[in-house]
Amino acid sequence: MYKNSRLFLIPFVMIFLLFIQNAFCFEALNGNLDITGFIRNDSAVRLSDGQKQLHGKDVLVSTSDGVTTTEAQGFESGDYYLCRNTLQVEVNWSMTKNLDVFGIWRGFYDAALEINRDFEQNMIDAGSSKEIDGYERDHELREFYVNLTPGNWVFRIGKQQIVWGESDGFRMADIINPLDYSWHYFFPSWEDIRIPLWGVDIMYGIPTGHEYTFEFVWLPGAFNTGFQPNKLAPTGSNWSTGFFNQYFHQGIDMGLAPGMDVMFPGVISGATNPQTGTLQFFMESMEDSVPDNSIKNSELGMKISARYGGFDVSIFDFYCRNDSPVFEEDWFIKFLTGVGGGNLYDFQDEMFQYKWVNKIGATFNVYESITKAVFRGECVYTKDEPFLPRNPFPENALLSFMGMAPPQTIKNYYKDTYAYMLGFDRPTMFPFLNRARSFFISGQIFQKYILDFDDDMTTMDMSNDDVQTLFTLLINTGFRNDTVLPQIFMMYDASGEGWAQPQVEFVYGDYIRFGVGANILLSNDKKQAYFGGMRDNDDIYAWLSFAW
Amino acid sequence: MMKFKISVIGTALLALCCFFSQFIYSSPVYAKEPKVLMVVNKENVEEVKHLLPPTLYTRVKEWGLSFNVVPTVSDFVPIKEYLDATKKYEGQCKVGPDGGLLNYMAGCPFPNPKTAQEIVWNFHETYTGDDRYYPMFTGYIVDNKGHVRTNKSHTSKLKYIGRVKLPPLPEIPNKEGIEFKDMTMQHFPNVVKGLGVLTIRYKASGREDDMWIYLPAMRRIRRMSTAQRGDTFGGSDTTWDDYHQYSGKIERNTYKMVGKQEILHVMHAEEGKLPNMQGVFCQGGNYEKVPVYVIESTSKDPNYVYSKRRWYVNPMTWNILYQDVYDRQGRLWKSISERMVINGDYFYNNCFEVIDYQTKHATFWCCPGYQKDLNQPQSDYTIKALKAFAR
Repeated sequence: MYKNSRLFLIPFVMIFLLFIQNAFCFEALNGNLDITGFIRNDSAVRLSDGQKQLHGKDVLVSTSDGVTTTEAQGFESGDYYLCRNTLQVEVNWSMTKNLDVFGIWRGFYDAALEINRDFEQNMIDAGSSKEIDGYERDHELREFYVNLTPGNWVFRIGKQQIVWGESDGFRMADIINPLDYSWHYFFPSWEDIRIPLWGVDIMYGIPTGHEYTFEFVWLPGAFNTGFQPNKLAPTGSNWSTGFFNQYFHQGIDMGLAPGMDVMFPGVISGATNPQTGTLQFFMESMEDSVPDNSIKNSELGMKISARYGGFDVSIFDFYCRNDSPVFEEDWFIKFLTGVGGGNLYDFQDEMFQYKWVNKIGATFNVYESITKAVFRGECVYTKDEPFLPRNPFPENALLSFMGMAPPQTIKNYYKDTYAYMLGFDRPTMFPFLNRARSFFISGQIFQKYILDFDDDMTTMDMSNDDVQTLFTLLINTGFRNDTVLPQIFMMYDASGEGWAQPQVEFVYGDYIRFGVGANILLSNDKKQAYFGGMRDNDDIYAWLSFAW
Repeated sequence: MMKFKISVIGTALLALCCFFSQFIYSSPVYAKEPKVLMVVNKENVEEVKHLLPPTLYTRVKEWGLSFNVVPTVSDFVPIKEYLDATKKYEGQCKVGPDGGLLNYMAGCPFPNPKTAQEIVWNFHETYTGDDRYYPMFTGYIVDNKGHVRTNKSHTSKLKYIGRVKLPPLPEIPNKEGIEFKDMTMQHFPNVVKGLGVLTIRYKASGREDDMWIYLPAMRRIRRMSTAQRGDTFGGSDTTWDDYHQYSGKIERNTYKMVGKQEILHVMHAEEGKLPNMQGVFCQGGNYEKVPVYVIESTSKDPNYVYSKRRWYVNPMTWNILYQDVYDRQGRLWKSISERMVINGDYFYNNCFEVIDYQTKHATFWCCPGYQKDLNQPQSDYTIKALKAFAR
């Protein structure tokens, strides 16, 4: 029976292999059915050891057997930490001229945890596991939507990615879909790590004059389609951010929370190795705090676009929950007054909150004929963006824990923020380097201002300053009729952080592409921001894909 | 067990039918073969050297191209509406000081051209439909080892001026002064599937094109710089300006009349038939002797990718049948040739060949299924449409 079952696969494999080279087979169907996809391997190797010291102190680690050691657990230089194999199948059915159905199914398996069992142990020691959030393997109907285009309308209904904005590499107006940071931070193509959401995207465009286009986005919070924050790596994995352990450690080191390392020895000490990353406890709390599926948790967006005298402009408004949570302000009170019997784990779903924010912004782009460059920009004003306090505990936390003072609330901070990006794109010929193709050169400056900044607040992706400035530069070209595609992307934050991503891709035939690259991270030891806890995560990576 | 065997055999037969269907689907339509006057090959090419552009001569003499010479058939007459418009507006067009076309309404701007510039404007305004659509524009990119990559797209164009058949005539009213809009969507390979490019060309000489590209990997639209028009795309040997022999703004070049002569060229290729690609050139074909104007085009931009082009323009169709392209050092670099299909009152190119003589690399763009005058809506040529068509 088992032998016969395997033989059953043969005709299906034959059909699959023959169909992938002849999509004409599907034109006989009612409409035009197109099935494509790819098989891909992404692999990465670390170039540095994980952090063994934090703030100049030896890292203490509590392993699962209760032993505390000064040796760093975790990742080391040369660790083959990523071996992700992905199969993605895309189906596009053009049922009529105005009706398309589109779907993507994706499955993946990361073999790194099998290749090196220590990686799995790292996660277990940190309180998580490879099964969390489908970290090692998963499959899903990634996207599935109906695209209806009658006249000047576009209705796109289903699970989809909705992308706004003009920025590359960093998010400002591209805020509708969360990102999956879990397996390679935000380095992969965002088409692959943007998390599709169930929603409705309606556009109405006037094709003449200024080409006004009105867009309305509704992400219903009901029907199992609720809010999703960015997906972070589970604790103990290579890309766990380390934010919370550093957040708490910073507070303790700076004397803001005296005695808290005594009060929560198991929890805090388990977080003192930044390599094992974010406290799993807080990770679970953040997940448990995600709002329930309910229509009242809908996120709504509107955008109006137009063309004026060579400028493409748009204004938008997106009412949504902030992807980064803040504490419930009475979390410590609940803990001490016995919610859940004083057991920290019993009210994980009441520890954090994802606050509603309103983001209003605008974008523009224009082609300038003298410089032959495209200039683009966007800005976002966020009303009452939530920020965590620098001290996660109330001021009298130790006294109230000892019953010598009534417990107090903590104070989150809600500040208006303003962020903008200005960028340029300039394809430039350097015939002595490449006479057939230009070099695409693209630069950007980002700035974010926290208005009325308070020294008692902290941020998750900034360097604790009231203004963040960063620059990016992208250069790419193609050689040998675009069979060799080198590229470099660089980012520099004025606080002393940086990231360089050189890579080269090779194309062989119509179906095979492979490439190699590196992520070189630079971080100021005093600052956290995007790479603070991961500044030793430099890696080289490679990919091989067969796409049909 | 018997049922299992039947299902395996049945499924295998179905798969084989699907595999072979590609050959049935793409089988050419064979027309009656014309009388062959001469077969040109490397042994006798000297007899017709004076009728061959230099690069075509090279292909015969050194690469082994051979082809038939058949009687010339001058059977093309543009549609009546185009001829009527030519007559109606005859004499009112002028070439402006910056090379732009002034007072153009519709039809052939210069039925009796006197200068190279006027001939080039005739090429630009020759009738190929008030709108047109190539449903499967396939590029075969061949390297010097014979390896082939494929690029598939569909492309369409909507004319805003010079309209002769589809109302409104002679132009679609608009404040922006649009000349035409062009939309190209890529289907293959997978990495560019869903990539779309929208181009808007303006009448005003000094106004550059507006171009947008939808990038599937980013899931968003990007504004493009027209500095990229000298770039090749999709790994091919074709720049954005090389499309349809020359798709850039006419005013960006200066033109010199070299002379008039006759050349041998494919004027009646079989509709839908793919050429016989043999390495980096197309073997065979039926070539007719046709008159051409020889014009040299030089870009006003000193940094342009080409130093000059030599065009062979046929006065029957006003199409550029053949061109030789020179690099910035003045060396012969490429040839671009169109295998024409003439069908009554319209023509199009069934396949155009772009051959790089320096790297022995070529791209063959095959364009079966050409359609025109479909009354396409303006809404199909907007940024919104670019996003709606893509994933």
